[in-house]
Amino acid sequence: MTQAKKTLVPGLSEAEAIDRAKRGDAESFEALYALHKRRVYSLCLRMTGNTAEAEDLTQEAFLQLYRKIATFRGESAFSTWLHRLAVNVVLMHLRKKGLPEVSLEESLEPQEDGPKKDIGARDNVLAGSIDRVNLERAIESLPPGYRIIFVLHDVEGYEHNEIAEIMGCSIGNSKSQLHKARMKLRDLLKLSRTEKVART
Amino acid sequence: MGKGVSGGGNMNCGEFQESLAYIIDTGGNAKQKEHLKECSVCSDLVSDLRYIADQAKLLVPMLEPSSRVWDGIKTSLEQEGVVKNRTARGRLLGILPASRWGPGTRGSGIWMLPIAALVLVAVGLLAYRSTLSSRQTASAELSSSNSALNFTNVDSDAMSDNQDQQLLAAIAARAPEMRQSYEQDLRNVNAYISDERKSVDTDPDDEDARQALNEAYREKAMLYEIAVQHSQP
Amino acid sequence: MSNIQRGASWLPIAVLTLASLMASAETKKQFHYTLGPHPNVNVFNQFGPVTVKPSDGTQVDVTATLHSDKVEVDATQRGNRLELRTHFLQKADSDQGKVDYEIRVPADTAISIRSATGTISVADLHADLLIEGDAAKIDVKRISDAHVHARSLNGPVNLEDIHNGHVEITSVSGPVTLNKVDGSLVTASTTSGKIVYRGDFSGGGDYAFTNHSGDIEVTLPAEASVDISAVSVSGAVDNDFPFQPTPHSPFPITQGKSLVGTSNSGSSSVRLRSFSGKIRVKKQ
Repeated sequence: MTQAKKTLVPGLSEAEAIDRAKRGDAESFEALYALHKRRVYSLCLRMTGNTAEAEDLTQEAFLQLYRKIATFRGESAFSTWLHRLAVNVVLMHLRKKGLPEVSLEESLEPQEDGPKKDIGARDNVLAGSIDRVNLERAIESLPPGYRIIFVLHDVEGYEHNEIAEIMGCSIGNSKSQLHKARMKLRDLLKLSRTEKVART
Repeated sequence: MGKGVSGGGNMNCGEFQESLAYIIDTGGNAKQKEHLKECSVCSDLVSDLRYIADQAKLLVPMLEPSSRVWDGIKTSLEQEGVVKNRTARGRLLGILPASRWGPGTRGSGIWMLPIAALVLVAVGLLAYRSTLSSRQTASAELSSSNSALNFTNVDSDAMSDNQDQQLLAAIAARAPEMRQSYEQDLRNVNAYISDERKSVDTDPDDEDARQALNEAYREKAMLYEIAVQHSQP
Repeated sequence: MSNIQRGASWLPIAVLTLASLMASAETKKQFHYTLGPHPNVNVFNQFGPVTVKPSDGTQVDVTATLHSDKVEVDATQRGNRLELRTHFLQKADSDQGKVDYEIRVPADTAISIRSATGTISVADLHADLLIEGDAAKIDVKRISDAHVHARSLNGPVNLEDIHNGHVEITSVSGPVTLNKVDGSLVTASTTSGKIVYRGDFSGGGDYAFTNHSGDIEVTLPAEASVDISAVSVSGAVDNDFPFQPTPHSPFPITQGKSLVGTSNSGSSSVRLRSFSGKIRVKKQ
């Protein structure tokens, strides 16, 4: 079962749908929604960890898309542009909620609740032992600040300089938070693996 | 074997891991690389962190938002008065529940839903056709007839019957022993579509009926997809 | 040697000859691959059973039994993906075109299988499955932490001991049986096939069973924690489970045709809909 990514229905390409949506064509906008809803929703869900919030934010992202699509000039891929829009919608929402997204000051002291350093005896490596469901769950249970950076960088592919710009922090902060997120995930995934073994 | 606390060179694990956030993607300087070579604990750690990052890249968006998201979008845009509706021609179909854009269109999209199944079929057929090499098959006959679909002035029920007959003819040509069961299945699916259409007509606000109608069309589309695969030589 | 003995003496030779004739029509092919972590194996078959089980190590072992020389198996590895495809060298009926696949894979292998007839059987894995059959019987057992998607026209679909993932079953007329299946999303949809569920609807998930004219039968234990709604538009709803009434129903309740209620804390959502079939809710 293959998927035609850029052809929405026979005779209507994504570029044509964008063009028509800019002129206010409802059906074309509907086509764009159908094409991109999963990615936008997944991004919102991964960043917030909450289904209802993610749905609200998806709705908001597409409403903003409809209002702003006339400004899309094709300098980047449409999906990239939409994606950035969705990220901004989520971050604005999180800022309004007053969540501590990222510590803007890099702490020189080890954080008590941060992941511990790994010194000592070897443990079994993770390679080959984690599956998507467990990884998604582990991401969901990350603290919000770690989760956002991890989702932006490792899942969605943003570079540190882009994240720094989006989050209003330094590149060093972005790298540091990402590292902590990965360390925390490592702990969670190892724990999940140990629990699974204990259950069987 | 690497020593956990005091690795190679003059760097220990604590020092290495403090800098790890900044070097994991670049590899680090000579001392850091040396430590990584000689320390199995740190090299396992780096391996795990890279593995997590690699697996994260493979996470594809699997989840769909519920239909309330689209309903909310429609409602907001209608209220803002920013929606400009086209005629029923060229509607995107089959993926979303029947939508009612703007005033005076109540229920008007519903009769286009039959085309939804056919469009789903057409997309599947087109995708299938792109994987065929030089084979002339009964499915190509189906494909060519489906590619003549246009969305203007169609008698959707008649076209649907026509497509069903072509499907059965193709199955009869390729796998005659399956024709009867396909015919029965088509009959059942068409009855499903017909019954749920009546439910939706009776009460267009019945969300369950609309979802059931979509389900019925999905079943028909699945039947077509599987039939096309079966018509491989 | 008497006439009888002489006559009987050709029998073993005849049997041996027949056996070897039959044996020569069948060919066994074996393939072995070493794939990386979380590999993908895709099987495209027309006629014949496909069985997938876990292997002990990291290798993928395939034994394909070809029932005639009119059919061939193409095995292609691309990176971490293995494709096994039956292809016909010439026109063949369902006996001649039959290929039996026995496949052993690492337990984290994502599998997709398409076969028109034969039994498709997968067990003891924890990776995503996508299975499609026309009239093939589909049997999936003991899968955890993974998504299971099965599509059938009229073959029966049986799932047992499936946990912690999404389950999506679509069938036109084949019956669907779900035994001890739970996850965050479990859906089964048929046109005329019967849907049977036996389990506790655990995990706080969304369960939705829909059909047109088939019956839906669910059996759940007293400790199940569900928020249930059931509607049969022109059929009937029978219930012998002691649900608590729900203060706000999503639709008007018609005695004998619909049901709304909760059990315990109502953590899982269960929605049952049939157009004209009978819905039975039973207590275990």
